[in-house]
This record gives sequence, C-alpha cells and structure tokens, in this order.
Amino acid sequence: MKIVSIAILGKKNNPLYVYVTNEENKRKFEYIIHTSLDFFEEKVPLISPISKKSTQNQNDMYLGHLFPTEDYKVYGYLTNTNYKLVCIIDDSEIKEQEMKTLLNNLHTILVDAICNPFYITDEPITSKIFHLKILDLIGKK
Amino acid sequence: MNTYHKDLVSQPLPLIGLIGEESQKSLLKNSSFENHKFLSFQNLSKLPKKKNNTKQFSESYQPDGILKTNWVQKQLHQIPSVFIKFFVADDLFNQENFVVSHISTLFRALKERNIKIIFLIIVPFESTIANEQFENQILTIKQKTQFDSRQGSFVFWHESKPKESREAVLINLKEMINRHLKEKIRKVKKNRDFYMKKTQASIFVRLYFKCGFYSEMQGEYKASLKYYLRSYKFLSNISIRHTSQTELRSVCEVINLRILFQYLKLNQYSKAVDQFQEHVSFGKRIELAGQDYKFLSLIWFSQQYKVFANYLELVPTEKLSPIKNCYENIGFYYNSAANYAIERKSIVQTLKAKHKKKLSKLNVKMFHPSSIYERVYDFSNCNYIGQPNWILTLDDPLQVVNKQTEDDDYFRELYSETQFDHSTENLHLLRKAYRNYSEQNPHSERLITTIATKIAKEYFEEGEFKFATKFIEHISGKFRQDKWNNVLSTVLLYSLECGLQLKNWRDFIKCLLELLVPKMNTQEETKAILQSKLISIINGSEKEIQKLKPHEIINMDPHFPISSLISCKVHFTQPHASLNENIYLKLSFESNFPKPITFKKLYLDFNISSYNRIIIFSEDEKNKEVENNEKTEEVNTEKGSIQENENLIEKDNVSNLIFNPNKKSCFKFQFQASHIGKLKIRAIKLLLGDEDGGIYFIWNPFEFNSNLTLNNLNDENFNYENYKKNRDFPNRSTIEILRPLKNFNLRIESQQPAFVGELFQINLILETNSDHLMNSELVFEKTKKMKLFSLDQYNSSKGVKESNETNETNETNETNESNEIIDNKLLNEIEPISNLQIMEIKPQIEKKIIIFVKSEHEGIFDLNIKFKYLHKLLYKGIFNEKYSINFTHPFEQNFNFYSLSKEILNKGSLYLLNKQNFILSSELIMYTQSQLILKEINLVLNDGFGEIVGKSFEKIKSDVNIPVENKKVNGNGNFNDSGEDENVNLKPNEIYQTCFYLKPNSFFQSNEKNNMQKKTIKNKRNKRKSKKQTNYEQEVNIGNIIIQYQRKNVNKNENFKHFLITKKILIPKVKFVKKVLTVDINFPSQGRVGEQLVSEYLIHNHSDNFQKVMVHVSHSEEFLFSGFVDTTFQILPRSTRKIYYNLIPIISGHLSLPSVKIFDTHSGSELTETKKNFNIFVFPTQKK
Repeated sequence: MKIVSIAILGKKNNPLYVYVTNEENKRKFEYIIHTSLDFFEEKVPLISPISKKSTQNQNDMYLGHLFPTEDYKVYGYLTNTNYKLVCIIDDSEIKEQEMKTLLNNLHTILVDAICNPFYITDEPITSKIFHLKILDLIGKK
Repeated sequence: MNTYHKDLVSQPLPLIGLIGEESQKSLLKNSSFENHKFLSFQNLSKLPKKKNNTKQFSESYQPDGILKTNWVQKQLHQIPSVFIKFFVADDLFNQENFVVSHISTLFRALKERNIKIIFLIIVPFESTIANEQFENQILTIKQKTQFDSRQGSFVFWHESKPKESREAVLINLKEMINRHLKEKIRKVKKNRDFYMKKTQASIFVRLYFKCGFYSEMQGEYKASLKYYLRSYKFLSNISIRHTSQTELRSVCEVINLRILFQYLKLNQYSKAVDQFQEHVSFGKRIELAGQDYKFLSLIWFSQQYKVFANYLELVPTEKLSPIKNCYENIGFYYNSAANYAIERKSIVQTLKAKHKKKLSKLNVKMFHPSSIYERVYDFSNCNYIGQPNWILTLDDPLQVVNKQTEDDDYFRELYSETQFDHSTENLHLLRKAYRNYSEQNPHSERLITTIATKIAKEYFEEGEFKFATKFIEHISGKFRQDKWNNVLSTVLLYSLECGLQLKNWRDFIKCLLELLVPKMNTQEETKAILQSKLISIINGSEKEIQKLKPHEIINMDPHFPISSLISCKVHFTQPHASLNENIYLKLSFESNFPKPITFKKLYLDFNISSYNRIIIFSEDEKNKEVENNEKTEEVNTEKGSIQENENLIEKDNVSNLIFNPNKKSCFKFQFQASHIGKLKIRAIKLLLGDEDGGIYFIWNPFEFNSNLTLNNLNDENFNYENYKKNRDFPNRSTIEILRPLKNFNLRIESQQPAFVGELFQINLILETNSDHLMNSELVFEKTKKMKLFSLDQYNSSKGVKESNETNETNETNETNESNEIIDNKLLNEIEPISNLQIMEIKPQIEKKIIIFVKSEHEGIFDLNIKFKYLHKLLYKGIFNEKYSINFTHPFEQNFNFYSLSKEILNKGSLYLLNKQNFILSSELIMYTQSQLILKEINLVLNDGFGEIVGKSFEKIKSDVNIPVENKKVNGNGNFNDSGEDENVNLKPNEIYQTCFYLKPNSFFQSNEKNNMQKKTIKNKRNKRKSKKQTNYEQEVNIGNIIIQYQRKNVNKNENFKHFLITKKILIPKVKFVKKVLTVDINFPSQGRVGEQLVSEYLIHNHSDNFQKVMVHVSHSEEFLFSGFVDTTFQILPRSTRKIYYNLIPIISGHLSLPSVKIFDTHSGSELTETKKNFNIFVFPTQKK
C-alpha cells in the first residue's frame, strides 16, 4: 500500500489540510479529493449528529472504499463532528483493517490539532507539528 | 469497435473450400448458407504449405512469441475446415476410374491436414438413374478408394429437390465441421503434455487460445470462454524476461477482447467487468518503463477503457443494474479513458517540443492514426502476434517498417502521434463521460463538475473560449460553495484569459478581483500583475482594452466572494443624540489588495437623503500621500484621523483615499442632527476610476439599489431570509435622534372604573428638572358630557383653608384630609373648572394635583389637557396630553308594582281602585370592583301621593327569592335608626331588594277625578288619531328613591378617595286605569233546532255618572231572533241594565251566535271586543 495523498475536509466541505506525496500532481489529487465529497454524501445519509451517535458505534466512522479512479483508490472516514478524512492510495491490494487503523490514527492527530487553542475552527490547519505527525503516520518522516 | 480489425471483433466462422466448376459452386453460393464462408479452390495447391512437424528443442521450449502471426488469418481465410468437391451424377458411371483416382488423391492430400471432404453429386433434372443404382455405385467407389467415412461423405444434390438437397448438405457440413474442429482441439490438447506449465506458459497461452478459437467457431461459447480464460491466466504467468511488454500487452488485449465477447453472448456482464479490471491491472504490471515510452502505455489504457465503455453501451441499461459496484457507471470508463488521453496529450506535447528537429526531418508514410490495433509493435523480428509482421500479413504498405531501425520506429510512432487530433478525441470521451454521469448519477455533482472542468480546459486549449466560459461559469459556483479556493483559482485563471480573449471586460474584472482575494491561492507576483492590469483598465491606459463603461457595480456583501478584498466597518459614536446635536460617524476600511490602491470618491448614503455625502479625492496631494504612505497610514489609524477628517468635513474633500495592503484606514465624519427619528447608514460606495467609467464597490447595496439581484451568487443553498436579516451593517450603524429633554413633565394617575353620577378622581403629577421654581397652567378642553372639579376649589368653598407648607411636607395629613367625605350638595353648588394655575413647582419634587370628573352620561370620553409651563411668566414649553375615561352605570335598576289586591295587570302599571294600597318593590344590582357601604335608602313621594306604610330591605342570592338577611328599615329609610348597625355592606354581583308599601292619601283621591276629566278631554282630541286609546288612563310620577352610599377602598390605594354619594333614582311612571262600563254575557251551551234559546247581556255602570251605550246586532242566517237590532240607551250611575235576545236555531251543528256589539258612546270603544264569536251546538229536531 502506497499512500499518495491524505486530506482533511471541514464541516462545510472546505479543505483544511491536503498532503500530496507528489507535488506535481497536486491539482489532480485535489480534484479527486473534491470528488470524494460526493461519495461521502452518498454513503452517509443526512442524519443529525445526535441520532448518528446513538445508532452508530465508533467503527462506523470508517466508510471504507469510496470510489476508484483508474490509478488510485480513495478511502474515507467521517468523524462525529462531520470532519472528513480522505486517504488516497495506489491501486494495489490492501487490508481493510490497515486502512481503518490508519484513518483512526489520523483522526486522533486531527483531534489533537483541533484542540489547540490557537487553531481557528474551519480554517486550514497550518501547524507544523500536525504536518510532522502526518508524515510520521504515513511513514515519510 | 471500429478501431479493431473486423477479424478480431467478429465471430469466427469456419471456412469451406469449394472444388469444381464455377457453375457448380454457384449452386451452393446461391442457396444462402448462413454462418458459412465459402472459398473457391482450383486445386489444393492454394493451401498454405504444411510446416514440418519436427521441432527443434530450443524453439519448442521457448518460442519466439506467444501467438503465431497469421494464424488467425489462416483459420479464417486460408485453411478450410471442409472441402466440397462437385461431381456430375453421370460421371460416376461413365468415368468411374477418373472419379476413383480423383477422390483417392484428394483423400490422401487432405488426410494429412485432417481436413474433411464432402463429395457433392449433382443429379440433374433429366437424370433417369434410380437411387438404388447410385447407392450401389457409391459403395463400389468407396471400396475402390478405401473411403473413410470419418474423413468424408457423399451427398446428392437433386436439382429437382433443391430444399431437401440443401438440408442434406447442411447436416453433413455441420457434422464434418464439428468433427474437424473437435479433432483439432483434441490434437492441440494432446500437445499440452509435451510442455511445462510453469516454464512454458506462453505455449499454453497459444494452445488454449487455439482451443478457444476453434470452440468459438463451433458456436460453443461456454467452452470457448473457458479456454480463453485459461489462456489469459497463463498469459499472466509469462515472465517479462522471455517476451516483450508490447507483445504481452497486445496478446492480452486480443484475448481479453475475445473473453468480453463471450461474456456478452452469455449475458454475464458483471463477470465482464471483473475480467476488465483484471485486464487493466495486468496491463499496469507490464507497463513500459521510461517517460519517452509512456505515451504508448497511455494510448493502450485509454483505448482499453474506451473499448470497454463502448462494449457496455451495447448492453441494455436494465441488464447493468445487477452490477452493484463502483464500476457500474459507463461514465467511469469514459472518464478514465479521457484521463489517460489527456495525460497522453500533455506528454506528447512535451515530447514534440523535445524532439522537434528530428520529427521535422522524418519523411514517412503515415500510420493509421487512431487504431491501436495497428500500433502494436515490437522492435524485434519475429513472426508472432504482437509484432508488425503479424498485423501486416496481407499486402500492407507498412511492411517497410520492419526494415527500419528501432529508433526510426519510435520516431515514426511519435510523429504519427503528434499528428493525431487529441482534443477531438479527449472532448469526445469527456462529453460521453459527462453525459453518462449526468444521466445515471445526477447526485455526483462534484464528479460531474470535475469532468466539466476538464472539458472547459480542453475547449480553452482549443481556443473555443465561449464554450470554455460557459463551463467555467457552471463549475466555479460549486468550487466557490465548497470553498475550494486552490482549484477555483486555477479555474478563474482560465476564465480570466477567456474574458480577455472574448473582450468581455465585466467577466474579466470580476475574475480578476476574485483572484486578488487573500484566500485565493494565487501567487503574489501574479496578484501584483493582476492589480496593475486592473488599474490600467480602469484608467484607460490599456490600448487593447476599452474603458469600463458604464460603471461596474461590485457587491461587497459578506456573502459575495469579492467582499474580503476590502472590509468596511461603520458605526456612530453614540447610540442616541438630541436634535441639533453633533453626531459622528466612524468609518474604517481594510484593504487586502496586494498593492496600495487609490479610490477617487467615497459616497455615504443614509436613509434620509439630506445627510448623504460625497467625499472626493484631491488629485494635488496624491503624490505626496503615495510617497509618505506608511507614515500617513499610522496617522490615519491613530490620533491623526480626527484632525485630518475634520478638514474633510469642511471641504467635503478627502486628501487621502489610498488604501495600503493589510492596513486600516479610518475616517470620522461629523453631522448635525436635523431631524427626529432613526438615522441609518444605508450604503457606502467607493469609486475606483472616475465619472467616465470604473468600478463601484458597494456595501449594503440592496438598500441602495433595488435593481441589483443575486445573480452573482451561485450558491444554491443560499438562504435569502437569513441574508436579509444580516444584510444591514451590524450594531451602531443606526443612531436615534431624540427630542430635546423636557424641563417639565406631567403624569396622570387614576383608578378605574368611573361610574355615571359619581366623582372620578384623577391625580395629575407634575415634576420639573429645572433648577428653578416653575409655574404651570393646565387648560382643560370643555366638554358637555363631563364636568371637572378640583379638590382645592371644593376645599375653599367649604371654607377649609390649607397651607401649602403642610400640603407639601406632610403627606399623611394630605391623605387624611382627602379621605374626608365630600358633600355632594356642596359639589353641586360649586362651578366646574376649565383651567388650573399651579404655582411654584419645586425641582425634583413631585407635585400632586387632584381633580374630579363627573359625568351623567355613559360612554368613553377624552379629557384633553393643554399643559403650559412657564418660568418667570415666560413660556418654556407647551404640550398636550390626552386621557380617556370610560363611564359606566353603577347600578342596574328594576322596579315592580303590586296592588294589595294582588291584581297584577301589567309590570309597572296597576289599577288603582278606591283607596287600595300597593307595594312598590325595587331591585338594585350593584356593580363589581368595589364594595359599597350603603348609608340610606329612602323613597321621596311626590306631593299628594300618599304615605309610606312600610319598607323592607333584603338580599336575594342569585335568582331564588330566599331572604338571607333581612334588614328592617325605619320609616325614614335610615338604617342607623334601628340602633344596631350603622351601615350595610353591599358586595359585588349580588342582588338586593328593597320594598316600599304605599297608601294613597285623600289628596290623591280628590285629585283623581279632576285628573281623569282632564285626561278625557285630552283623549277626545286625540281620538281621531288613535281610536284604540283607552280613556281613564293616567300616568303618575310617584317620586324618587334616594340612595346614599360610599365605595370601599379595596386596593388600599390611599391616593384615591371615595366620597359619600347621593344617588337619585327616578321611579318609572305608574299607569292608573279606571274602567267605567263592563259587560257580562249569559247564554246556553246547547240548543235544538226550532226550540227557543235566550241570551242575556248585562251592562254595568261603575261610575257615578250616566253612561250612554249603543247596541248593534248583526244579521244571522242560522238563527231567527227577536230583540233590539240597533239601539242606544242610558244606564243609571252604579246600576246594571239587562238586554235579552230570543234565538231560534234554524239549522243544526256548531253555530256561532249572532254578533252583538256594545259600544260606549262616550269613548267610542267597544265593550264586547274581547267577547266575540260564541259558538253553541244545535241538535237536530227531536223525532216524535
């Protein structure tokens, strides 16, 4: 499994953090990440956060394989607070559990970043520590 | 599908060789043999030479290629499965030896190749040979030629029976073909045993492909699919070391295509999708390395996706629904094909630039441009599939290519690629993807947007700017909504260029401004260039660009994307101001333009146009300001702003409207409040440019210009109601201008309700803010229905003198005094007031003035007070106050009269005969709100009416007449005379009854006669007008009931007093009626025809005078009667007169008596009016 991009999208679908391994293809990945929002909306029906909390356990935040492109696979994770985590990997076979763990860890990192009192809600995440943690997570550090 | 050779995309059909004369061959060709291909042969020399079966070890172990070139063509076009040899029937008998030798030769030749043969014996119409003879002859030939029935057969073609003959040929052909193909498959399968699956996978690919191909020829699709899949499986096991990637790729493409066709025929679409995914992943494994060769891979992938999408399009839509995965949409395949094609285009463009010189020198025949099938090539010389030789077997001009060097091949391919129309291909694929997604997956808005972005880019690159703009307008809204500024900035750059090319300056300006927005990730350098461009357009210095006319209006509302370019805050320094006071408006702008920007004018628009102001930038000081930019900015934001802007106000002219990036510019404007009410800032405009043309940046434009709409806003979820709420500037953009504070104030207090006939107290409370003692004058508007009294006036008339000092200092004294009972009689004597002079009202101390209002009418009346306050006899102010008072009745009254003889004739009327006493009963219902203390109830009789014999007072609970509490009342009506209780408390909503027993006195009796006579005269005069009016009626006023009561203070509000009130209630007039004449009638109840009846009329005169009476009897046909018909007579005073009538009935039954009318001649009234129409029953005559 080779991770080519990690993205965090806000409550209003705005990009908060987009990391791409190959900067030359950044625009291409941005389009893919933006497209993934359609599949988030398709997979998660419009339910209120409260009802969602009561009916779904934590594991349900992992939405699994959202959609394929010709070269990549896109995986999604929707937090209880409606943040969307997107992971794009190359077209190789992966274990679902691995991806689930990865996105769970990414969620933890995101929570840490949001808890930072200097972070403004719904603004892009520019924290260096957060970036380093992401690199660490995907093994690029 | 057109991109492939037809042999690859059509079902393979077995070939049938025909040997014989042309006329004989035409027999079959004309007989419409479907699914059979015929090929004419003169002899067998046309067949390709059979290869030597002896194999060298190296070749067999590891072949040069996977599939042999020309093999497919051989099967389809060169080597027949079955030969048909024609004979004429007569030849079998006439030229037997020749036939035998010919058959033997053919048999031997074809046995080696395992090709079957059918000998078709044509029996002409005129043939007379019997069938038995034929069969015998054929048996003879078979014996001579050692005929093997597995290898061939004899079939007759009777010209007389073409249908039967055709059937026979078909059956034989099918049997022979199947036998041939099965043997081939068996033979191929046998070969498997010679090879190793692991090391010689390529041979297995070939073997299984052949098996699949033969099965497909047979029409055995399941079997063929099985063989092809195996073949494909072995293909994936082939090591790339032993073969070239391009060969592998082309072979897998061919096999994949065949597999997909088998699935299509078997209706297994989801399996086809799985196969395609496997195929693509296999293709990725064998991708060519190196950037220079990448375009070849991209072509291949693009082609694979496109072909599969085309393939799926052939499938009915309803058949696709079972495929429940991400790959179900045809759009996905077109989109993927387009993505590869776009990448291919960009790489080819790069390579074209890189190898420009070499490509220009290349002089070659063109490849077929769009066929990937013909692009499959390798750089080695080998007769196997995946190489040009294989493709170019049949006289292809490109055979030359083989002789070229590898390098030349590559450039030839690159050259043809550069000549290819990529844009058309890309747009075709993208449009297909767009259409499919829009139709099948309309909710995937963003996916569709992404495809639209690619289409826009393609159009843009093609120079189709109009189309590109259309798409960009559509897509930019979605990116803007999701705040994907990175992507949006890219799109806007295209839009900007489109605007420039199309000379659509308005779109150009909007895009440019949006690109300058700080959140947009445009590079700083680009931003600086864009701003310079903007300024040059505004100033008209750009040659190509016309000046922006008329002005462009940019909405700076927070919902609009450009709003963050300049933020504007505005507020008044205070929330309220008095009239004529100075008010200040503070304005701050924060520019986010990348470079300093200068505005020409600033417009301030208020809800009241007289406050509107235009601030003009002075050109002379421009240079200075630009030089000292940073310094002035600091001054602006801090203390200097006021000084600088005070100058502005005087000149109405700002010296500096230059806004520096990321710095605030503050202004303060002074106004004078010249009206009362709300002053609200409606809009603020900044003009970039001049009067001839430019841009207006407007904040709050909806108030300012109602023509503006939300066209610029592409947000579909836009909530206009919320927007409307928030569109105003935030707090403090409104100031309330109030009246100047009053020096004097008047307050009115009262306690409802007000009752008719009672004094209603109103407290007027005066207060002053002035430091001096103030005087005032209250003028009350005169009304007919209300009277005003003042307490002071009352007190002075009563002779009570109050000192002002005690009034003001000791409030308790005042209240005690106010509780004093006001004498109602005295109040009637004093005159109502119309104005009041109030002197020396002390500052900060309330002055209370008590006035009373009294009305004798029910209703709501306004008390209008004109209030003048003055200081040292000079009017300081004047204002009006209005106060409404609702007067209601305090009691409900109900009177009943009863005579002692209990003869109640009418409510409120009674006969008063002689000296009879009568009872006057009155009911009083008290009103709520307050309890009453009843002091006295008294009946005052008019003179000569009589005297009160007795009285009673009792409470009646609800409607049931049960005395709960009896109160004895003395002759005068005072309660306190009993010596027990002084007062009676009356509670709200309870019914109290009081009764008076009256005895008319002699004076009344003596007057009675006179009154009656007077009335009679009057009645005579009125007789003409109303005949029915009765004489001897008299209406008499008995007198009044006078009640004295005081209201109890329930709320314990000591500010209000309750006085002893004397209420005079008029008793309704009593009717006295006296009857002078009365009539009694006696007659039998039954009679008999012919027998006499007597009816008797008794007329009584009750008066002391003679009374004259007139009698009239009407005619009757039912009775014979004797007596007076028309007569007048007098009756003595206080006597009775009898009249008799003898009646004899003529007919029997119920008969009405003849009507007898008796009139009083004096009054003209009919005495028998109530006694008409008496009926009696008359029996018939009794039988003797």
